[in-house]
Amino acid sequence: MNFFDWNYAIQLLPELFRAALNTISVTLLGFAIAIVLGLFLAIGRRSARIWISWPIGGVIEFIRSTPLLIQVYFLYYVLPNYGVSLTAMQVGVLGIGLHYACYLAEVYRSGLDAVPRGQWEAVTALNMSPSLAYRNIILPQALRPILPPVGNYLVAMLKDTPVLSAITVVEIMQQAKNIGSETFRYLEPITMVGVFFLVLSIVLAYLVRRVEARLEQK
Amino acid sequence: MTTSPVSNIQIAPSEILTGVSSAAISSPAIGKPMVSFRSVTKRYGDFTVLDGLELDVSAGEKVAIIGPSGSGKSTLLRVLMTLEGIDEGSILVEGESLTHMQGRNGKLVPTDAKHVRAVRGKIGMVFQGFNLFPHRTALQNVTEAPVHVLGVKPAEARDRAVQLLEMVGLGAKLDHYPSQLSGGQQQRVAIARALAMRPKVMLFDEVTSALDPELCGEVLNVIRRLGSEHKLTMLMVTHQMGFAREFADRVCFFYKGRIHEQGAPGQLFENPQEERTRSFLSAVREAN
Repeated sequence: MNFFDWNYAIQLLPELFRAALNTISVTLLGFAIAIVLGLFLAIGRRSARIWISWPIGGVIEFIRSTPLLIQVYFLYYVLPNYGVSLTAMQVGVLGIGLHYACYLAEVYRSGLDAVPRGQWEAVTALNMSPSLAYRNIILPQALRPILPPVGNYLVAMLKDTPVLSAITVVEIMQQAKNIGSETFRYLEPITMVGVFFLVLSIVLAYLVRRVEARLEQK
Repeated sequence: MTTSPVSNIQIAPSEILTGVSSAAISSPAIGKPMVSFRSVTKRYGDFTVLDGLELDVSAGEKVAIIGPSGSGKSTLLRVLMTLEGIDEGSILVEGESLTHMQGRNGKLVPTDAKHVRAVRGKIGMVFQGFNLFPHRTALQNVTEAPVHVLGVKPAEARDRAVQLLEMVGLGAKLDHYPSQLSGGQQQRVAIARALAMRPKVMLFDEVTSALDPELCGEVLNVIRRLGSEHKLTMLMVTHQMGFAREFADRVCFFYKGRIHEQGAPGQLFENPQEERTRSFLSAVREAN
């Protein structure tokens, strides 16, 4: 059994690095979709109009209750039959963004529910429009306590990106597998992928804590 | 009841407060009440909080609302502020309904959000729990709505907010966050915040109930000053009988969702006609 071959590992770096860029961009773009869409889903689900809140609630539950793998499969392999053709990368970003938007919607909801009722009464008494009230008064108070769980989902999302290899997105894990199947050496590429995820997760968690600390000061 | 004087309150000219002369406040309402409740009924499930309530308040009038808990006092203010809807009847502010408006064909139709906001803009409210925005300073609490709702220029809104906060004795606390202020100070910020929207009607919902007795005085002094120097219409739900008596033009005793008895403070407190009013007042006196 060979021990870790450092020279071989260094040779793999450029390839893995290119694939890592895909992983990172899927994560960041998907997360951007998730935090924006999740917010709208959360607000929609709280709507007093049931023709808004019920369908949105249904979609959230549906997506949260089915595996990400099936969702991206469906988007990538079934939708083209209906004339919607997207690249693997586009489906990856959309699929993972949508999936996590539904998780984040629930996190947002918990934050919004935690804002005291008196704040809603105050914005009504001051005649604020709902969008102004959300923007300036309700959301700033709702977001602070949910930052830690949002950060958790960001890291979870990063670690879910290898699922997208199933629809041919060449993220870092897929690249490592490709290298392994060509050379029959899995130790180095897979180890490096593990280290990559470890380091990136720690960096993301650190950044989230920095944001928390900054909000705390305000 | 403690009414410790607050020495650093400055007297402000009337324009600071409302931005309109007292004549402008009262003129549209000649012969027309500022606020009218017409057969207003409000239910929570099987419980009827307001039961065909009738109440007219004229411009500049100060009405104190007293009564046992559950009698509908706070609900009266809350439905007027549109925090809650009503089940029957109508509420008019300067003759304009909160629940209905003229449709295109001249028929009455339910109000839309725009109409409600237009009517609601005439009303300001101060809450028992202050409800200040915790992430905003005292000054920002007061400028937020004028800038973003009324479209006042930030510099102008700031000047006026400073004047209002000075009027309530908090000129030195402009940049303090609510968590850095005492309950009495927070409540005075809340009063300044409501006044910054230039309301014609001010609602005070048990504004001293959450305060230590020694802090009540500073809040009541501010309200007393508002009442004596400005022609605001005020509706006040209160447990402070002494203050109601001294401050109000009229006292309404609420019982079971209706006005059980009303009259000038002297008459209602000295010589109540109804048995229920007498028992309430004597119970309150005993408690004090």
